[in-house]
Amino acid sequence: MPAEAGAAEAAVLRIHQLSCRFGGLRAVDNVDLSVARGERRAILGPNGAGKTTLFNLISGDVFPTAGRIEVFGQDATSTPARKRIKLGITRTYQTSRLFLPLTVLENVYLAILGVAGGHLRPLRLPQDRAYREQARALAERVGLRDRIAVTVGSLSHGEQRQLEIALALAGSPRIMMLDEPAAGLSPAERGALTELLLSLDPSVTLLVVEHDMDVALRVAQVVTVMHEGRIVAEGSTAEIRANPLVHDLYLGRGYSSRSASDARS
Amino acid sequence: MKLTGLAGWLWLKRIGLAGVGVIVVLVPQLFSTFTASAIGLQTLVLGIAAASLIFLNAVVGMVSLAQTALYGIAGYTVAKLAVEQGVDPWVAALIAVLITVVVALLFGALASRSEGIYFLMITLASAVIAYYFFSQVSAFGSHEGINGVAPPALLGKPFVDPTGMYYTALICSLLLYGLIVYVRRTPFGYALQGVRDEPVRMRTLGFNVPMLRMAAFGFGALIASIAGVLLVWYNSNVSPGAIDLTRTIDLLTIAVIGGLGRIEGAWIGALLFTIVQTYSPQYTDRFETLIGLTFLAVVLASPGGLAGIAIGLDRWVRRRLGEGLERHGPGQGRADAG
Amino acid sequence: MSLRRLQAELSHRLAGALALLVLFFSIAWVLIRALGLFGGTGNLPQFIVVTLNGITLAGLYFIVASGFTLIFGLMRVVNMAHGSLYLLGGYLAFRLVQQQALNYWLALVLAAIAIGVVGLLMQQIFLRWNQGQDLRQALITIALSVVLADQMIPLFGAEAVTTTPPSGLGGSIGLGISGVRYPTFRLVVLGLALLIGFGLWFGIKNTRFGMIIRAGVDDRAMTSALGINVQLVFAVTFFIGALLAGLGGVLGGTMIALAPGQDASFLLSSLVVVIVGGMGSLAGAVIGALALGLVDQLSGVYLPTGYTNFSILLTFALLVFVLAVRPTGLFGRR
Repeated sequence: MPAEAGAAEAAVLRIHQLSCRFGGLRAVDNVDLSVARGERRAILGPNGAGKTTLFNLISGDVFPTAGRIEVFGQDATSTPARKRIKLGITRTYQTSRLFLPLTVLENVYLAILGVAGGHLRPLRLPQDRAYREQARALAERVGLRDRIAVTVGSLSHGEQRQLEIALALAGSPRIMMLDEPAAGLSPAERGALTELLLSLDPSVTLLVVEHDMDVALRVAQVVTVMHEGRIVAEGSTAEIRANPLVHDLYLGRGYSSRSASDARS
Repeated sequence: MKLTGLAGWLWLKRIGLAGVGVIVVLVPQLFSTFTASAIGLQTLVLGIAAASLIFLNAVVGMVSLAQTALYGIAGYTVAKLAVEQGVDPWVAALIAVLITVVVALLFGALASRSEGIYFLMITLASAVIAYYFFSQVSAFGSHEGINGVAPPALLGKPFVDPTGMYYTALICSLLLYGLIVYVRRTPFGYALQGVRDEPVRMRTLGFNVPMLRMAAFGFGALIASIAGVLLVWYNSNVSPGAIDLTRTIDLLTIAVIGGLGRIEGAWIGALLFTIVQTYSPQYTDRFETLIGLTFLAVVLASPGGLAGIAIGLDRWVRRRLGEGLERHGPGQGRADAG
Repeated sequence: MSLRRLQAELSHRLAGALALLVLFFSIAWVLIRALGLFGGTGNLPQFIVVTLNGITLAGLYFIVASGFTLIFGLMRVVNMAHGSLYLLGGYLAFRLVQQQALNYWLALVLAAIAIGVVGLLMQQIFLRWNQGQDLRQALITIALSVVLADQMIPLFGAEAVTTTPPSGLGGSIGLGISGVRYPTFRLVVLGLALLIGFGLWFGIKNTRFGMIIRAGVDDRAMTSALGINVQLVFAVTFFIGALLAGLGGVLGGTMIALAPGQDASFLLSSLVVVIVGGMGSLAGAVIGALALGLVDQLSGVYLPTGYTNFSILLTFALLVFVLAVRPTGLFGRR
């Protein structure tokens, strides 16, 4: 038992020779990755580099064609997606996957219910009130205090991104994966997002796919760069900034794509 | 003055709804035996069946065409037990509901792995197969069906005096409507709505999506089976004709005309359907064509059905009256004063 | 390999193995009864005729269902009026042959094209502007099927009718085994089914239009990205799909009979064929049609005495079984 805890201390998430093919396309190709407890890691790379597929593999939305995923020292390669949240893995999606006809509060309430279990229960019980209180607190934490009773379909894009994070925060996650949390946000919203991410419990491990370098490099301590399904560079933020290969491959493009999205918003 | 307009509209609505409520409660006293039975009672029973379809669509996003097959299973069970085994009607009804729900859960375990249009196709295929099954197997009376099913003594004879049966159906309708509204607000209900909107997200949030779909299908079957039992008591028989493809589509028509998104729509659609069905033979032989065209018109013009139109109308009137106050309020007041 | 993975693998394999076992057992059962093994009294000629009935019926199912699966595969439209188109096609040819005394093959072509046009009109008037709303499209076609079914009763009567086969094909021919004779026209239908199947396969494999359809089945975003006139492709597909339903109706009206209710029956067979075979797959339609046709005919004869009218349950069992092992059908992918 203590040995296992020690191993978990070393690496909460360990990925070994992971591959995922779709037909002839190698979306993720022989990836090895080890993430320590409380680590803040950014995953960078141009579009189509396999970042989202990697997230899908870790969250169980997609199953690998080869390789192995270990979470807290346990093999989770073929654990169904719905059981991975019990291991402490939560995620957000690149394009928001929210319950549009329901209110903000109900959305977060559902996320809490998913972890708490008992969702086949067709009765209202006292603990539902406690769940709602937790949901309210989470919504307030991501800055949606005034929008709690609003249906999600009528929220702005930025507010929907905030809600995405609230859903991932529900159920005290130990590994959070955020897929482009800043996409389409205004500069002010990005600032708020960065603050929120920096304020997270330091024991929570954070994986972030992000095109916005300001957000990614401020939040992360370690950076993994992917290209065409493979990991091409890994290191501290300073090392990555200095890496000429990464510059050629990605950073230049990343900055230009950011200014493009700035112009859009 | 416009404020009074808005308040007046709200009052009008309240009075209207109360009036409808009074009429619904007093149907056996106000109308002839024929109307109370052929329109009133039939509307309630078909409404319950349609409510099971609408519940599955509106809350879980599953369009099931197996609801007629399910009420057929309940109907056949209750008829067989009552006529051949001499089982007390209430006990037979209870067993029928249980059997139907169990069958639905077993079938749902397989079918609920499919989504959307696939689910619709699978349920439709199963419904047609159920029809062939009941019309071929002699143990269920083949094409004849099972005749001479007597409702419980408490309910009397529906065709002589529909009062007892009518109130039973009304109580069932109200209870089931209340149950659906309540369940929507429970953890189970919220989970179902989550499955309707984002099954992928629900999975990563830790929900067992196929299990939820299966349970929802079972709940829908519970509603449908009650309709099946009432239908058999009302007709005093059950035959394959009650669950053939035409009836399946009739039920879908009721749900679509009433509004696939609102539970209330089930009874609204059933009322319209029953009225057309009862009175159209005076004008045309082609009742199904009439129904089909109405169905088509609703799907093309107003996917929300009559319930959707009613709600839209209410909103429109309220906005007109409410907005009138904001925009022209003072001017209006002056004109009135002058 | 972890234990959990092993378990998942095993349960998957187990379902497949169970399916094979049931299949093997059914075949063994039929053969034992047919050939009179283990002391029973066999009846080989009957077995041959029943099997041929199953295969020729499968041919008819395939013709109808291939149209259904073509439309569904490319456009995700579940054409619930497919059975009505089948019946209407049958009635049209019946009228042309019996009342106008038209040549059978000419009537067949005319009726099939007419149904193709009806389908095309349906698609252009009602479905075109609802692209992507699959539920709404299904509801629209259901409404149309109700109207069509009801209008066909006063037009063509409620009695069952049969179209006379073309001259020379109305009799039966000897098969050369145990003196068995078999209706010629059913074999013609089988031949046509093979021809149509091969034609569709060749067309999809080798023509530009077929390439577009394949691309569309795999990835619908891609077809529009290729800069193809999608609307034209959809229209042609719907025309062909409806035409196949009409063609099936003409043949079915000669081989079996035409009557109200046949529309539901052939909608069901199309549904079962594509659910079993896999939606949108031509090879799946072949396998699905064969499975359905054989189960249909063999179970009527070889189920234990007293249970033969349970044969429809076997169709259901087939459906449930395939769904349990492969929820997307035998050749389906998602």
